[in-house]
Amino acid sequence: MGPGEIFITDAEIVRKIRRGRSALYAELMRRHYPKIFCLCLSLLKDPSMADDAAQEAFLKSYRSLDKFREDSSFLTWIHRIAANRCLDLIRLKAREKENSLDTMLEISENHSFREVESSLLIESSLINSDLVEKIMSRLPVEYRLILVLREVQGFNYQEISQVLECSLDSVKARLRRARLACGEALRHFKMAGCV
Amino acid sequence: MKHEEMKEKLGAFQDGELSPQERLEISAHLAICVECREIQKSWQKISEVLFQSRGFVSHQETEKFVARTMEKIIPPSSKGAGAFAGLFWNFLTPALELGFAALFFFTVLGASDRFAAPDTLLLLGSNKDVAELILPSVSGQGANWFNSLLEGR
Ligand SMILES: [Zn+2]
Repeated sequence: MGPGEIFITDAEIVRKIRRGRSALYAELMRRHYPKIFCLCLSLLKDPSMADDAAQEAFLKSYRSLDKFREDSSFLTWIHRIAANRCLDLIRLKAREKENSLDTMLEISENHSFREVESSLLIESSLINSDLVEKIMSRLPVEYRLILVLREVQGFNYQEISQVLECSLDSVKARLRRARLACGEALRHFKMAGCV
Repeated sequence: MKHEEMKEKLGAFQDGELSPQERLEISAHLAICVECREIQKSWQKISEVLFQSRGFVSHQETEKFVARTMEKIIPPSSKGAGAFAGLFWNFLTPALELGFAALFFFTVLGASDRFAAPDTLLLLGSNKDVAELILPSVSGQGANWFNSLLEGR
Protein backbone atom coordinates (compact mmCIF):
# COMPACT_ATOMS: atom_id res chain seq x y z
CA MET A 1 0.00 0.00 0.00
CA GLY A 2 1.69 3.21 -1.15
CA PRO A 3 1.26 6.63 0.44
CA GLY A 4 -1.98 8.30 -0.50
CA GLU A 5 -3.66 5.04 -1.53
CA ILE A 6 -6.96 4.42 0.13
CA PHE A 7 -7.53 0.97 1.55
CA ILE A 8 -10.81 -0.56 0.49
CA THR A 9 -12.17 -3.31 2.71
CA ASP A 10 -13.32 -6.65 1.32
CA ALA A 11 -16.89 -5.79 2.27
CA GLU A 12 -16.74 -2.57 0.23
CA ILE A 13 -15.33 -4.43 -2.76
CA VAL A 14 -18.12 -7.00 -2.51
CA ARG A 15 -20.67 -4.17 -2.47
CA LYS A 16 -19.14 -2.61 -5.60
CA ILE A 17 -19.10 -5.97 -7.39
CA ARG A 18 -22.76 -6.45 -6.55
CA ARG A 19 -23.41 -3.05 -8.11
CA GLY A 20 -21.88 -4.35 -11.34
CA ARG A 21 -18.14 -3.73 -11.08
CA SER A 22 -17.21 -7.38 -11.67
CA ALA A 23 -13.58 -6.57 -12.53
CA LEU A 24 -12.96 -5.73 -8.87
CA TYR A 25 -13.25 -9.43 -8.04
CA ALA A 26 -9.62 -9.70 -9.20
CA GLU A 27 -8.59 -7.67 -6.16
CA LEU A 28 -10.40 -10.04 -3.78
CA MET A 29 -8.62 -13.00 -5.37
CA ARG A 30 -5.28 -11.19 -5.26
CA ARG A 31 -5.76 -10.68 -1.54
CA HIS A 32 -6.84 -14.19 -0.64
CA TYR A 33 -5.54 -16.65 -3.24
CA PRO A 34 -2.26 -17.40 -1.39
CA LYS A 35 -4.14 -18.48 1.74
CA ILE A 36 -6.77 -20.41 -0.17
CA PHE A 37 -4.15 -22.23 -2.25
CA CYS A 38 -2.28 -23.07 0.93
CA LEU A 39 -5.46 -24.44 2.54
CA CYS A 40 -6.28 -26.56 -0.52
CA LEU A 41 -2.71 -27.83 -0.76
CA SER A 42 -2.70 -28.80 2.90
CA LEU A 43 -5.85 -30.83 2.39
CA LEU A 44 -5.34 -32.25 -1.11
CA LYS A 45 -1.52 -32.64 -1.14
CA ASP A 46 -1.37 -32.12 -4.91
CA PRO A 47 -0.48 -28.63 -6.22
CA SER A 48 -2.43 -28.96 -9.45
CA MET A 49 -5.55 -30.31 -7.69
CA ALA A 50 -5.15 -27.58 -5.07
CA ASP A 51 -5.01 -24.91 -7.75
CA ASP A 52 -8.13 -26.28 -9.48
CA ALA A 53 -9.98 -26.45 -6.17
CA ALA A 54 -8.97 -22.88 -5.37
CA GLN A 55 -10.28 -21.72 -8.74
CA GLU A 56 -13.56 -23.60 -8.33
CA ALA A 57 -13.94 -22.04 -4.88
CA PHE A 58 -13.39 -18.50 -6.19
CA LEU A 59 -15.77 -19.06 -9.12
CA LYS A 60 -18.44 -20.48 -6.83
CA SER A 61 -17.98 -17.59 -4.42
CA TYR A 62 -18.31 -15.09 -7.29
CA ARG A 63 -21.50 -16.72 -8.56
CA SER A 64 -23.07 -16.76 -5.11
CA LEU A 65 -21.86 -13.36 -4.00
CA ASP A 66 -25.45 -12.26 -3.47
CA LYS A 67 -25.72 -14.90 -0.73
CA PHE A 68 -22.72 -13.49 1.12
CA ARG A 69 -23.85 -12.02 4.42
CA GLU A 70 -21.77 -9.16 5.70
CA ASP A 71 -21.86 -10.36 9.30
CA SER A 72 -19.05 -12.74 8.40
CA SER A 73 -15.84 -11.81 6.60
CA PHE A 74 -15.16 -12.60 2.96
CA LEU A 75 -11.98 -14.37 4.08
CA THR A 76 -13.77 -16.88 6.31
CA TRP A 77 -16.53 -17.25 3.71
CA ILE A 78 -14.13 -18.15 0.90
CA HIS A 79 -12.31 -20.49 3.29
CA ARG A 80 -15.60 -22.27 3.97
CA ILE A 81 -16.32 -22.70 0.27
CA ALA A 82 -12.77 -23.90 -0.47
CA ALA A 83 -12.70 -26.28 2.49
CA ASN A 84 -16.04 -27.79 1.49
CA ARG A 85 -14.83 -28.24 -2.07
CA CYS A 86 -11.67 -30.01 -0.84
CA LEU A 87 -13.65 -32.23 1.54
CA ASP A 88 -15.98 -33.18 -1.32
CA LEU A 89 -13.00 -34.09 -3.51
CA ILE A 90 -11.41 -36.13 -0.74
CA ARG A 91 -14.68 -37.94 0.01
CA LEU A 92 -15.11 -38.69 -3.66
CA LYS A 93 -11.61 -40.13 -3.78
CA ALA A 94 -12.20 -42.12 -0.60
CA ARG A 95 -15.44 -43.52 -1.98
CA GLU A 96 -13.61 -44.50 -5.12
CA LYS A 97 -11.14 -46.41 -3.00
CA GLU A 98 -14.06 -47.96 -1.06
CA ASN A 99 -12.32 -46.64 1.98
CA SER A 100 -14.83 -44.23 3.38
CA LEU A 101 -13.71 -41.25 5.37
CA ASP A 102 -16.44 -41.91 7.92
CA THR A 103 -14.79 -45.16 8.91
CA MET A 104 -11.49 -43.38 9.29
CA LEU A 105 -13.12 -40.72 11.42
CA GLU A 106 -15.00 -43.24 13.58
CA ILE A 107 -11.77 -44.98 14.40
CA SER A 108 -10.07 -41.80 15.48
CA GLU A 109 -13.09 -40.44 17.38
CA ASN A 110 -13.52 -43.64 19.38
CA HIS A 111 -9.92 -43.82 20.33
CA SER A 112 -9.07 -42.99 23.90
CA PHE A 113 -6.79 -39.98 24.05
CA ARG A 114 -5.92 -40.32 27.70
CA GLU A 115 -2.65 -42.09 27.11
CA VAL A 116 -1.95 -40.08 23.99
CA GLU A 117 -1.29 -36.79 25.70
CA SER A 118 2.01 -37.98 27.12
CA SER A 119 3.13 -38.85 23.60
CA LEU A 120 3.54 -35.15 22.97
CA LEU A 121 6.41 -35.42 25.37
CA ILE A 122 8.85 -36.06 22.58
CA GLU A 123 12.09 -34.18 22.60
CA SER A 124 11.02 -31.11 20.64
CA SER A 125 14.35 -30.87 18.81
CA LEU A 126 13.54 -34.19 17.10
CA ILE A 127 10.52 -32.77 15.30
CA ASN A 128 11.35 -31.77 11.73
CA SER A 129 9.28 -30.80 8.72
CA ASP A 130 9.40 -34.30 7.19
CA LEU A 131 7.95 -35.68 10.34
CA VAL A 132 5.23 -33.05 10.50
CA GLU A 133 4.25 -33.91 6.91
CA LYS A 134 4.06 -37.59 7.85
CA ILE A 135 2.02 -36.77 10.92
CA MET A 136 -0.36 -34.57 8.96
CA SER A 137 -0.89 -37.22 6.32
CA ARG A 138 -1.95 -39.71 9.01
CA LEU A 139 -4.64 -37.40 10.36
CA PRO A 140 -8.27 -37.48 9.25
CA VAL A 141 -8.94 -34.59 6.89
CA GLU A 142 -11.25 -32.81 9.35
CA TYR A 143 -8.37 -32.61 11.82
CA ARG A 144 -5.97 -31.41 9.16
CA LEU A 145 -8.48 -28.74 8.21
CA ILE A 146 -8.89 -27.32 11.71
CA LEU A 147 -5.14 -27.46 12.35
CA VAL A 148 -4.39 -25.62 9.13
CA LEU A 149 -7.01 -22.98 9.92
CA ARG A 150 -5.47 -22.40 13.33
CA GLU A 151 -1.77 -23.06 12.85
CA VAL A 152 -1.20 -22.01 9.27
CA GLN A 153 -3.89 -19.42 8.54
CA GLY A 154 -3.72 -18.05 12.08
CA PHE A 155 -7.51 -17.83 12.48
CA ASN A 156 -8.90 -17.25 15.94
CA TYR A 157 -11.63 -19.50 17.36
CA GLN A 158 -14.39 -17.13 16.26
CA GLU A 159 -13.17 -17.20 12.65
CA ILE A 160 -12.73 -20.98 12.73
CA SER A 161 -16.30 -21.33 13.97
CA GLN A 162 -17.46 -19.27 10.98
CA VAL A 163 -15.53 -21.41 8.51
CA LEU A 164 -16.67 -24.69 10.03
CA GLU A 165 -20.16 -23.40 10.89
CA CYS A 166 -20.01 -24.70 14.44
CA SER A 167 -19.99 -23.31 17.98
CA LEU A 168 -16.94 -21.96 19.82
CA ASP A 169 -17.10 -24.90 22.22
CA SER A 170 -17.04 -27.25 19.28
CA VAL A 171 -13.98 -25.46 17.89
CA LYS A 172 -12.19 -25.91 21.22
CA ALA A 173 -13.11 -29.59 21.43
CA ARG A 174 -12.23 -30.34 17.81
CA LEU A 175 -8.95 -28.51 18.02
CA ARG A 176 -8.04 -30.40 21.15
CA ARG A 177 -8.91 -33.72 19.52
CA ALA A 178 -6.91 -32.77 16.44
CA ARG A 179 -3.87 -31.91 18.53
CA LEU A 180 -4.18 -35.12 20.48
CA ALA A 181 -4.45 -37.05 17.24
CA CYS A 182 -1.27 -35.27 16.20
CA GLY A 183 0.33 -36.57 19.36
CA GLU A 184 -0.93 -40.05 18.58
CA ALA A 185 0.55 -39.93 15.11
CA LEU A 186 3.78 -38.73 16.61
CA ARG A 187 3.75 -41.71 18.98
CA HIS A 188 3.18 -43.99 16.01
CA PHE A 189 6.32 -42.68 14.34
CA LYS A 190 8.20 -42.86 17.61
CA MET A 191 7.31 -46.54 17.92
CA ALA A 192 8.22 -47.12 14.29
CA GLY A 193 11.63 -45.68 15.07
CA CYS A 194 11.26 -42.57 12.91
CA VAL A 195 11.86 -40.27 15.88
CA MET B 1 -7.52 -25.45 38.43
CA LYS B 2 -5.83 -28.82 38.73
CA HIS B 3 -3.07 -30.18 36.50
CA GLU B 4 -5.51 -32.19 34.29
CA GLU B 5 -7.71 -29.17 33.74
CA MET B 6 -4.69 -27.03 32.94
CA LYS B 7 -3.41 -29.61 30.50
CA GLU B 8 -6.73 -29.48 28.64
CA LYS B 9 -6.44 -25.73 28.29
CA LEU B 10 -2.86 -25.60 27.06
CA GLY B 11 -4.02 -25.39 23.44
CA ALA B 12 -6.37 -22.49 24.09
CA PHE B 13 -3.60 -20.86 26.15
CA GLN B 14 -1.20 -21.03 23.25
CA ASP B 15 -3.91 -19.78 20.90
CA GLY B 16 -4.50 -16.73 23.09
CA GLU B 17 -8.14 -17.72 23.60
CA LEU B 18 -8.28 -17.71 27.41
CA SER B 19 -9.54 -15.07 29.80
CA PRO B 20 -6.84 -12.96 31.54
CA GLN B 21 -7.54 -14.81 34.79
CA GLU B 22 -7.11 -18.23 33.15
CA ARG B 23 -3.94 -17.05 31.41
CA LEU B 24 -2.40 -16.05 34.73
CA GLU B 25 -3.28 -19.40 36.29
CA ILE B 26 -1.81 -21.38 33.41
CA SER B 27 1.36 -19.27 33.31
CA ALA B 28 1.89 -19.90 37.02
CA HIS B 29 1.27 -23.62 36.54
CA LEU B 30 3.65 -23.87 33.60
CA ALA B 31 6.40 -22.47 35.81
CA ILE B 32 6.10 -25.42 38.18
CA CYS B 33 4.81 -28.35 36.03
CA VAL B 34 7.39 -30.12 33.87
CA GLU B 35 4.86 -32.25 31.97
CA CYS B 36 2.69 -29.31 30.92
CA ARG B 37 5.77 -27.33 29.98
CA GLU B 38 7.04 -30.13 27.76
CA ILE B 39 3.66 -30.59 26.09
CA GLN B 40 3.59 -26.88 25.47
CA LYS B 41 7.12 -26.86 24.01
CA SER B 42 6.44 -29.87 21.75
CA TRP B 43 3.33 -28.25 20.38
CA GLN B 44 5.06 -24.95 19.83
CA LYS B 45 7.72 -26.79 17.84
CA ILE B 46 5.16 -28.65 15.71
CA SER B 47 3.30 -25.41 15.12
CA GLU B 48 6.49 -23.59 14.17
CA VAL B 49 7.46 -26.29 11.67
CA LEU B 50 3.93 -26.30 10.24
CA PHE B 51 4.10 -22.55 9.72
CA GLN B 52 7.47 -22.69 8.02
CA SER B 53 6.79 -25.66 5.76
CA ARG B 54 3.48 -24.46 4.35
CA GLY B 55 3.40 -23.23 0.78
CA PHE B 56 4.65 -19.81 -0.08
CA VAL B 57 2.82 -18.39 -3.08
CA SER B 58 4.72 -15.82 -5.12
CA HIS B 59 3.26 -12.59 -6.43
CA GLN B 60 3.62 -13.89 -10.03
CA GLU B 61 1.76 -17.11 -9.25
CA THR B 62 -1.02 -15.10 -7.68
CA GLU B 63 -1.27 -12.80 -10.71
CA LYS B 64 -1.40 -15.77 -13.10
CA PHE B 65 -4.17 -17.34 -11.06
CA VAL B 66 -6.11 -14.08 -10.93
CA ALA B 67 -5.77 -13.59 -14.71
CA ARG B 68 -6.96 -17.06 -15.67
CA THR B 69 -9.82 -17.01 -13.18
CA MET B 70 -10.96 -13.56 -14.29
CA GLU B 71 -11.08 -14.90 -17.87
CA LYS B 72 -13.79 -17.28 -16.71
CA ILE B 73 -15.67 -14.49 -14.96
CA ILE B 74 -15.36 -11.83 -17.64
CA PRO B 75 -14.55 -13.48 -21.00
CA PRO B 76 -11.61 -11.72 -22.77
CA SER B 77 -13.80 -10.53 -25.68
CA SER B 78 -15.68 -8.18 -23.39
CA LYS B 79 -12.93 -6.37 -21.52
CA GLY B 80 -9.53 -4.67 -21.70
CA ALA B 81 -7.52 -2.88 -24.41
CA GLY B 82 -6.34 -6.13 -26.06
CA ALA B 83 -9.90 -7.32 -26.19
CA PHE B 84 -11.03 -4.14 -27.91
CA ALA B 85 -9.88 -5.36 -31.34
CA GLY B 86 -11.95 -8.52 -30.91
CA LEU B 87 -14.91 -6.49 -29.81
CA PHE B 88 -14.44 -4.13 -32.75
CA TRP B 89 -14.40 -6.95 -35.33
CA ASN B 90 -17.28 -8.79 -33.68
CA PHE B 91 -19.29 -5.64 -34.03
CA LEU B 92 -17.96 -4.56 -37.39
CA THR B 93 -18.68 -7.68 -39.44
CA PRO B 94 -22.46 -7.75 -38.94
CA ALA B 95 -22.54 -3.96 -38.95
CA LEU B 96 -20.89 -3.87 -42.40
CA GLU B 97 -23.37 -6.42 -43.72
CA LEU B 98 -26.22 -4.32 -42.47
CA GLY B 99 -24.58 -1.16 -43.74
CA PHE B 100 -24.41 -2.58 -47.25
CA ALA B 101 -27.95 -3.86 -46.98
CA ALA B 102 -29.13 -0.44 -45.88
CA LEU B 103 -27.16 1.33 -48.59
CA PHE B 104 -28.67 -0.97 -51.21
CA PHE B 105 -32.11 -0.45 -49.74
CA PHE B 106 -31.88 3.32 -49.82
CA THR B 107 -30.24 3.41 -53.24
CA VAL B 108 -32.80 1.14 -54.93
CA LEU B 109 -35.97 2.22 -53.14
CA GLY B 110 -35.03 5.79 -52.42
CA ALA B 111 -34.47 7.28 -48.97
CA SER B 112 -37.29 8.75 -46.95
CA ASP B 113 -37.37 10.70 -43.68
CA ARG B 114 -39.63 8.00 -42.27
CA PHE B 115 -36.82 5.47 -42.56
CA ALA B 116 -34.12 5.12 -39.95
CA ALA B 117 -30.84 6.76 -40.98
CA PRO B 118 -28.01 4.37 -42.03
CA ASP B 119 -25.84 5.25 -38.98
CA THR B 120 -28.74 4.34 -36.69
CA LEU B 121 -28.80 0.93 -38.32
CA LEU B 122 -25.07 0.56 -37.76
CA LEU B 123 -25.42 1.31 -34.09
CA LEU B 124 -28.28 -1.08 -33.64
CA GLY B 125 -26.52 -4.20 -34.93
CA SER B 126 -27.61 -6.71 -37.52
CA ASN B 127 -30.00 -9.37 -36.32
CA LYS B 128 -33.69 -9.89 -36.83
CA ASP B 129 -34.49 -7.86 -33.69
CA VAL B 130 -33.08 -4.87 -35.52
CA ALA B 131 -35.31 -5.55 -38.50
CA GLU B 132 -38.26 -5.68 -36.16
CA LEU B 133 -37.18 -2.39 -34.60
CA ILE B 134 -36.97 -0.65 -37.97
CA LEU B 135 -39.62 -2.32 -40.09
CA PRO B 136 -42.71 -0.82 -38.45
CA SER B 137 -41.68 2.43 -40.11
CA VAL B 138 -41.19 0.73 -43.48
CA SER B 139 -44.27 -0.34 -45.36
CA GLY B 140 -45.30 -2.63 -48.20
CA GLN B 141 -43.03 -4.30 -50.71
CA GLY B 142 -39.92 -2.47 -49.50
CA ALA B 143 -40.33 -3.93 -46.02
CA ASN B 144 -40.68 -7.51 -47.28
CA TRP B 145 -37.73 -7.08 -49.55
CA PHE B 146 -35.60 -5.65 -46.75
CA ASN B 147 -36.67 -8.45 -44.46
CA SER B 148 -35.76 -11.18 -46.93
CA LEU B 149 -32.43 -9.48 -47.55
CA LEU B 150 -31.66 -9.58 -43.83
CA GLU B 151 -32.66 -13.23 -43.58
CA GLY B 152 -30.48 -14.07 -46.57
CA ARG B 153 -33.36 -15.26 -48.79
ZN1 LIG C 1 0.66 -29.68 34.62
